[in-house]
Formats: sequence, structure tokens, C-alpha cells
Amino acid sequence: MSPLASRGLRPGTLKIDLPELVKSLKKKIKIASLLFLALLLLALGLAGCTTQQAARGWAGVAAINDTLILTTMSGRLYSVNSADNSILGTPVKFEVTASGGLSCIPSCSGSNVSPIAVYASPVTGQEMAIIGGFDGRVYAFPLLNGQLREQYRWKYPPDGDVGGNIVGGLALSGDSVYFASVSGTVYSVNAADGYKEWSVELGNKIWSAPAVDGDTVYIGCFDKNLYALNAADGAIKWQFAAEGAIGATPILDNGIIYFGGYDRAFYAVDAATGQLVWKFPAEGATARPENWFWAQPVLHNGIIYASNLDGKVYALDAATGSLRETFSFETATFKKGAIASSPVVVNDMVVIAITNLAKSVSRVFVIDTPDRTREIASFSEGINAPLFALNGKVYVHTTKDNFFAIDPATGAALKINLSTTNK
Amino acid sequence: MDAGAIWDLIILNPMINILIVMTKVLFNNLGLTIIALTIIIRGLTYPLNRKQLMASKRMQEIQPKIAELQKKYAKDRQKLAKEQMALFKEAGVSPTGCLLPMLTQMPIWIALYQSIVRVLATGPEQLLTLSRHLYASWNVVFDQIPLPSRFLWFDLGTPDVYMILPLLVGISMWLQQKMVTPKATDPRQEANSTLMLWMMPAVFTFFSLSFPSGLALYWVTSNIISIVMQYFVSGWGPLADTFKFLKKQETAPVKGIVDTKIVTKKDSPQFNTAPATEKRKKSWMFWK
Repeated sequence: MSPLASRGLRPGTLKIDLPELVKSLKKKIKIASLLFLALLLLALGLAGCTTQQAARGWAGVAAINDTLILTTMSGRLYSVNSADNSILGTPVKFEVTASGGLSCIPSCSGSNVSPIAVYASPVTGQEMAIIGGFDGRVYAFPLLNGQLREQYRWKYPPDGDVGGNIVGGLALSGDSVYFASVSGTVYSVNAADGYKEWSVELGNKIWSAPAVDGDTVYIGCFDKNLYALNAADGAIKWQFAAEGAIGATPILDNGIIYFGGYDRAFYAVDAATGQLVWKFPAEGATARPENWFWAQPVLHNGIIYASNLDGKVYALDAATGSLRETFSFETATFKKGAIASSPVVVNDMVVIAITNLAKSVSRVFVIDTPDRTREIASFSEGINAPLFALNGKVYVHTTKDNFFAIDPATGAALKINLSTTNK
Repeated sequence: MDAGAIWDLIILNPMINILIVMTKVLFNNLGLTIIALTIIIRGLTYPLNRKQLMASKRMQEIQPKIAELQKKYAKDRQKLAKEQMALFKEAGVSPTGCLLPMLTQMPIWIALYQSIVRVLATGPEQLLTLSRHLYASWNVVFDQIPLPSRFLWFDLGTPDVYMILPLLVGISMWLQQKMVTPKATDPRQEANSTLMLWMMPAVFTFFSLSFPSGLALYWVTSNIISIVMQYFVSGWGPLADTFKFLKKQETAPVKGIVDTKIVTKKDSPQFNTAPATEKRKKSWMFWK
């Protein structure tokens, strides 16, 4: 048989071999269908990774004396000398081994051992670093000469978890550690041994860290209330109803508690009675910030610097709530920023980190006079973690899990080198 | 503006904000909203969906004829192909007819899927991401966040611990697949059909075990709507062969409309692809 005949063609004519054509067409359809199915499954799988595995954490830096405590997204805890940024001792593993459910299937990272995400900045005291994990447990690691010990002293609860992730921060006051879970329960545990002192269930999720003043614990809740709890037994002293969920951690000064909400309003409430002192924008105002108050505010020289996810900082008179200035940080090359990271005050400067969430790039600015801003650093990675100040420097933890020490006076940014092998 | 920003602006952002507003309207119930929005979007994409269903139905209807052609021209592949092509042409069936409407609808489904994932905001990153999709001029969307995630016995933001929803996803998807899977005419095709019939439900059931229940609810709703639409277009189809009691509900084909007798091209009457039963014809009018 000639080559043409074998392919269904006759010499001198152009005749199509229909059975071959149909067979080929069917094959192509089958391949296209399988490809489509594979793509669909891949998309779903990736979405699964996105929805299920996205908890990476963004804990800010903590310190004890001159030692920095760094919590990485890769499941390591570091003690770092702030003088020269050298690592003290060996990094501590902060990981969990999956069990039960679908743990037989390796996670998207390809392993059943996964880092414990940390959103809450650690608290330090009593020669310990106390860390709230997204796995729903609180761990207390002893510090020896500033170095983290490998084995935790206690964890709470001793078995299992608190029944929800821990996203908001912790507060260490006296002999107690206060924290809350996403399931809406506030806990007080003994700082020395991790024994539960009390717990109280509130109305909804809690992503806010507690603020403690004397015998009262203040905490915001997604049920749109700010609660004042008795530090001794958790009893509710009063609750203040805002118009939106409260995710930001409040600050206290001079008997007033300040916090922002997802209703795009900022509140000052009497810490003793729970009565509203002022609200920004005031009732009846038509203009309001364009997004949520997500980050903890800072107070400096009688002015509240309330940062918003609309990329602006609203400078409010702490006594009256009147708007003194609105700081916008858009430049020709940087637009649509959001401020998720809590600002800090260093040497009379308010330091702000702003991130373009879509592009995951960020800028660091300072407000160094009542009405002037200055860009001091830029990063090709986002900053969602709260800023931290120590010895005149500002420490940032980026979305790519890098730590930088920035001198706000000069803008010099030094990357803290965490060795790749250990990381 | 990059493609992602255009996608967000035109498709994703409107859907997310509508989803949030609908939740407020529907008694602050996100579960009801997911069901309602899935129904609405299936309604809006019905013209496209109808083409897909019709193509699927016609393909099913000519399967017996294809089988007979294959039997008749088993030794003459060229003739078989010619007759098959003629059959496809006369029946108005394009082998790729189901794909185009399905691909056209894909962006809408992806947007609905993404918006459900976004509004559930199961973690801090997701909630932060959600913040940039909200319309600043719509106060209601800011007051509504976070959306309540309890619905029936499950939390929409976490997998169903009782595994009922994943099972419903698998069963509903199997039923829907079964309705559109033509009866195989040879063993190899049968093996492929069986694989496809079981693989998708199995995979989606597996995903539902670890995905937020909100997505599983969306899949169950979507599958049920597909089953209903498919029923009104082509009846129970091959599903009636598996569940015999369904056959009683189907009326006999109208004489002469779908004739399984194979005729050759020269003496063939015009192939009639009208709806197979009068009952279905009426049902079809209902959908119009």
C-alpha cells in the first residue's frame, strides 16, 4: 500500500479519510475535555490551598531588654541581639504535625509538618516569651540570658486547643496573661504555670488583643461591642455598642479608651463608665473614611493617629475628637495603599507603614512635624505586621517573612539575616 | 490597569458587594444568600445554559442511531464516518456544541466562587483582602462585615464536621452527571463514561471535606439546579435506566419523531429533532 493510500488518500485526488478524521476529532475532544477537567481540578486545588493554607501569620517583633524575639512564617522563633542583629543560640521550631482528617494527604507545602502561623505579636515578661498560635494554643517559652529555650514551659490548653484560632494579641499584666480566641472566648491564665483563671464567652469572633488597665480588661469583638471585663473573674463591667465590628486593639490614656471600627468610625469611650466621649466622624457628618480602622492607633502629644485601610492617617484631637489633619501617602509611584500595620512613635516621629495589598509593595513614612510627612523606605513586599520600636529603631516584618531594622532619622534599612539553613 | 484589576472592577467587586447586601436583605443569613445568588445567576445564564443542555440532549437522542450505524457499517469505516457526519448535521449536533456555552459561563462561575470565598474570609489575610473589594459609597457593606457564618447545622466558613454536605455534593453531582452521560455504545467508551461519571463527584466530595461549607453549599445548589434544568430539557435520561421507578414518570416518545430505525441517506426522511414528548414540550415552554 502506498503511503498516500495508507493515509486514506488516492493519488491525484484530495480525499479526506472521514473515519480517521472523526477518530482524530473524537480524540481531540477527549483530550480537550480531560485538559479542561484537569485545569478545573487544578484551579480548585489551588483555591483549596489558598483558602485552607493561607494562614501564614504576620506577627510583629517583641523584645526583652535588648533582645528581639522574632516569629517567622516558616515556623521558627529567633532571639536576636538588637545591637548587631546577630542570632542568639539556635532557632526554636514552632511547628505542628497534622493528625486526623485529611492529614494522610500532604499539605500544599508537601509535608505533614507545618509551621504554626502567628498573628499576635509575642509578649515578654517574667523571663518568658508568650506566643499565641493560630493553632488555638498559647505557648510560654523560657528565656535564658535572652535566649529562647527549645522546650516551652507551658502551653494552654495542655491538651487540644481553645476551640478556635488565636488571631488577636496577648496582654501580660501582673501574674496573668489575657487573650481571646476567634471562637469568641476571652481567657485569663496564670503566667507562671499556664493554669486557667477564668474564661468568658462573648457574642462573636475576637480578633482584637486585650488592653489592660488596673483591674479591667478591655477588648473589642466582632459583635460590634467593646467589652470591659473584671480582670479578677472576667465578669462584664460594661459594654459599649459601636455600629461595626471591632477588630483593632484599643489604647488607653488618661481614663479614656480609644479604638476604631469596621463601621469606619473612631471612638473615644470613658474607661470607667463605658460612655461615649466623642466619635469621629461626628453623628450626622456626611464624609467618612473610605475603609476600616484595622490597626491599633497611637497617641502622641495629645493627638490620636488613627490609621485606616483607605491609606490615610487621621490625626484627631484626643480631647475633642476634632480632625486636626488627614495624612495621605500617595505618590506618583505609589497608589492605593492600605495601612494594616500599627504605627509607632520614635523620637517625636510617628512612623507609618503603608502597603498596596494588590501588588504587595510597601512604603514607610514618618510624620515628623504636625503637618509634614516624609518617605523613608520602600519595600517590594508588603507590611501587615505591627511596627515595633526599640532603641530608636523601627522593626518591620514583611509579607515575604523578612525582618528589617529601619533608622527613621536617616531611612537606612538593614535586613536582619536569618540564615537560610536555620530558617 | 492589569487584567486582575479589570476582573475585580467589572466582575468580582459587584458580585461581592451584591452578595453582602443580599445577606442583609435575606434575614442576615449568608447560607440563604448563597442559595439565592446561585439561583439568580443560573437564571441569568439560562440562555447559554439552554444551548448546552440542548446539545447534550440531542447527542443523547442520536446515540441509538450512532450505535446502529456502527453496527451496520462495522466493516466500512469511511461509509460509517460519512453517515455519522450526516447524522450530526441533520440532528444539528456539533461535537463541540457543549463546550462553547460552558466556557462562556465559566467567568461568571469563577467570580461567584471567588466572591463566596472572599466574603467567608476565614482568615486574617482573607478579611484584609476583602476590605479592598468593598464599595466605599455603600455604608451597608461596612456595617455587615463580618457576615454571620452559621447556617443549618454547619458553619459556612469551615468544613462540615458531620460530612453530610460533602456527601450531598457527591450524590447531587453524580445524579447530574448520570443524566447527561450518554449510554455507551462500545466497552471502551463505557469505561471512559464510567470513569468520568465517578471521578468528578469523588473529587468534589473530597474537596468538600476540606473546603469551607459555603462552597459545598454552592456546589449542592448548583447541582440541584442543573438536575432540574436537565430534567425539563431531556427528562431523566440515562438516570431512568438506573432508577427504574423514574421510567414510570416518562411518557412514551411521540410516534415518528425519534425513530430508531436506521435509514440510508438516499431514502432518509428529514431528521426530526423536535422534543421527544409532548409532556416535555410543555415543560420546555414553562422555561421559556
